[in-house]
Amino acid sequence: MALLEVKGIRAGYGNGPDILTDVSINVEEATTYCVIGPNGAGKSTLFKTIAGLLKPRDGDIVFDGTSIAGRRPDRVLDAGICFVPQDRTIFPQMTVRENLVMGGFLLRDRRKVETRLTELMEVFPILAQRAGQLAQTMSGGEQQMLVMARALMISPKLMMIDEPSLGLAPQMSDQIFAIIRQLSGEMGVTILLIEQNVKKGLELADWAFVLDLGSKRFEGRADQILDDPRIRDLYLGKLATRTTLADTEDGS
Amino acid sequence: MTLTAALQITILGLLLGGVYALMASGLTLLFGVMRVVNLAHAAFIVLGAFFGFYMWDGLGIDPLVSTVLALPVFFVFGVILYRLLFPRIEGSPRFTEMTVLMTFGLAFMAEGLMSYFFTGIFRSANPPYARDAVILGDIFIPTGQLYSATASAVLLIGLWVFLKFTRIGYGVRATMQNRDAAQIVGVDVRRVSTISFGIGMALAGAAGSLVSFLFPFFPSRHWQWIAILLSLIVLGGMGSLKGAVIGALGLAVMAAFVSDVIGPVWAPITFFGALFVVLLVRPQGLFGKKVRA
Repeated sequence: MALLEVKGIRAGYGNGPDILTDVSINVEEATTYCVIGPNGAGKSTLFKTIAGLLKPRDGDIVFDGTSIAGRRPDRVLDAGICFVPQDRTIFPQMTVRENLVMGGFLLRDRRKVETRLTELMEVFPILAQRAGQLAQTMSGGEQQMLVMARALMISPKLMMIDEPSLGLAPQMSDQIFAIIRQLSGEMGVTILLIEQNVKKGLELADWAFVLDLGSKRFEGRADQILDDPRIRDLYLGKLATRTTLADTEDGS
Repeated sequence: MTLTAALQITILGLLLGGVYALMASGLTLLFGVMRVVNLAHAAFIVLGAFFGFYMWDGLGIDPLVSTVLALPVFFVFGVILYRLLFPRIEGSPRFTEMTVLMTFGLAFMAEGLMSYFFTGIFRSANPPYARDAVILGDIFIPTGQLYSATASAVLLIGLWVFLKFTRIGYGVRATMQNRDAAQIVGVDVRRVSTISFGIGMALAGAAGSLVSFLFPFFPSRHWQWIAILLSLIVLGGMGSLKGAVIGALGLAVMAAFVSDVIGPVWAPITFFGALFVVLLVRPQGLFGKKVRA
């Protein structure tokens, strides 16, 4: 049985139009997936809907055998799905350490939080060095590591990472990709990834979903999907229409 | 002005500023957590003052004791009021605008009900220490102000400890700093909002009990107070507790000097003058964060 099954969801913001019209995906355990598609395809919206930040207007989301569609974000997190959004949502005036403690908010038990904190400081030595520093004083790449480490505090089964390399220098993005590889490899976390650097994203992933205009167009093995002629149509053929559609999903 | 006179004025200003800081703390906390400017905050301070007054006048309970009693009473009142009023407008894209209108209406309603039940005449609790003073050399310190400032300091430190060291306090601070991130790490932001509204109300009630013996009050007094409190928290940076405390102390001292040198009628001008300058020079306030457009 799949770890996560998204069945025909439809979703949008406020009273606005549907951003996702009909998306179905199956996610197997211990696999890395990359979600690709042009701007405005609904990639971020898909993640937000799974995370419980948006209620699906239709369809179902089943995780580990139980439906989580429409649950509050803290309940979704409690079930084992964490979300790392693209805008590096740190707590600017808390220290790095306090940010990580916040990641363990649902653990309740102080000792569990401390144990996990120590484990993660080993995976992210830079955060151990910066523990007492205010999060807002760190560089973009370090902040990205912080939000990823913070998400790992609750030992999630599934981690959704939205554009981790956005605005980072190439060297720093390589470091971030190495960490993601480590998460899926050594720690066995199932990963759903959105990456604007499609080539890099597909190198990391085992499988890819291709989204356009709010629905899944096709899917396939990550190492073969770039050769698919439909990809070229999607990214190049749509250029003309994309300029008008680009801002339907502002990416935030 | 002699040095002694200056010291005297500074001390009086600081004592008054401490109470202003407590009065403003609930307002800035609520803004920080929910982006709600609670225009009814000072009306609830007046309600707290009536609470302190009647406890003293009717039951003989010291207003300082009422300050402590007001905390749970007003907290529960705040939670009930929140549940009654806010769920309807939550999630609305115009949430902040709507809350301004709603709390404005709430202020009128509270004032009307208080005028109806408690009448509009001047009230003031008069425990014995309200007319006493401590004299240190040439410095004269009214005992009532000393007690109320001390009580304010204790409550503000208590609030800081709560925010800094408890799990719910972490949740409140996280929500203030980044609401999205708080949701992502599993903070139930609606629950945090409810609790914060309750805490804001508890602080208003406690501040009111202290005010009951500091200033004469009557139901419509709150308009004057809310104006001063808003200028304090804008000066300090809306949503910043540290800013509210420093803004309150600083402005109260300045107002005390203005009052002494130019005349008491001009004291309120200090607050609005400072507000004017801050909005020109540093619109996010002394300790506020710049808001990205």
